[in-house]
Amino acid sequence: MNDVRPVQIRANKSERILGIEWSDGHSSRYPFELLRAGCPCASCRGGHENMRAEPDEEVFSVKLGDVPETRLRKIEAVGAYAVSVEWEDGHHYGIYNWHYLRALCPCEACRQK
Amino acid sequence: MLAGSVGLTAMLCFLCFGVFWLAVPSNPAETDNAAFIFTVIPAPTLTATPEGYLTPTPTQALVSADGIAVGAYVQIFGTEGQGLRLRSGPSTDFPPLFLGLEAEVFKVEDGPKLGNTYTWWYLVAPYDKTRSGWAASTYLSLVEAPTDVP
Ligand SMILES: [Zn+2]
Ligand SMILES: [Zn+2]
Repeated sequence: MNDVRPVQIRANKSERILGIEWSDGHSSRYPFELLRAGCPCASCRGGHENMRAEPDEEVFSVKLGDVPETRLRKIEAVGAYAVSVEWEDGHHYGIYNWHYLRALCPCEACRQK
Repeated sequence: MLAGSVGLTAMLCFLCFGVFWLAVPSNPAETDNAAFIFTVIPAPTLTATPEGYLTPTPTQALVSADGIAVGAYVQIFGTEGQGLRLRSGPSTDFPPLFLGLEAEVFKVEDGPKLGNTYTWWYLVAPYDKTRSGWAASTYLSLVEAPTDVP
C-alpha cells in the first residue's frame, strides 16, 4: 500500500466532497468536514511530538457542520506526493500526503482495517 | 472488392484505435511531476454566503510545487555563497536570527506560510536545534534525509 497514489483528485465544492481515485482502483470520498477534522498540521494535532503518519481515530466521529472551518477555499498539489488545503477561516497549514489521505479514507472497508 | 473494403475497414479501425491509444498516454505527460488529474469544481454561486466567501478557482489546477513539506530536508542553494537569512517569522518584516550557509542542510518543521510573496518554511538544523528560523523557499532545494541524524 506504500506505492498507492492518486490517479485523479476531484474537489467538489458544491457537494463538499473530495474524491480520490487511487492507483490500486480504490476510490475514496472525503466529506470536507472529515478533511478539516483530520487536518494533519502540527497545531491541529497538538504539536510535533504527537504527530503520526496516520490520522487519529477521533477525527472520524467529529461533526463540524457547514461552517467556514469546513469550507474549502483552495486545494493545491504539493509536488507529486501531497495536497495542501486552505479553508475559509484562513487555516492552510495542513499538507495531506498520499499515505495519510489513504489512511483517512472513511469507507467501511478501510475503517474495518 | 469485398475483401478490399474489409481490409480498408480494418485499417481504419486500426488507425482510429492507434490514434486513441497514442493520445491517452500523452495526457499525463503534460502534467509532468504531478502525475494525476487534479480538478476543483467550484460551488454554484447560488450557495455563496452573503459575504461572498467563494473565490474563483480554475476548474483544472495543476500545480508543480518544489516538493518541500514538513518533515522533509532542504539545503540552502543559489545564494552564490552569500547564505540565507533565517528569520524569527515568515516574512522579511521579521528580524534575521542568523545566516544559514550555502549548502547547509535543515529539517523543515513548520510551514508553508505566505509572506511578502515568498513561501516560508520553519527550518531546524539537524545537529543544532538552536539554528532554527523561517526561510524563504526560493533558496531551498529538497534533499534526501541525512543518514546519520540522531
Ligand atoms: Zn491544521
Ligand atoms: Zn477506503
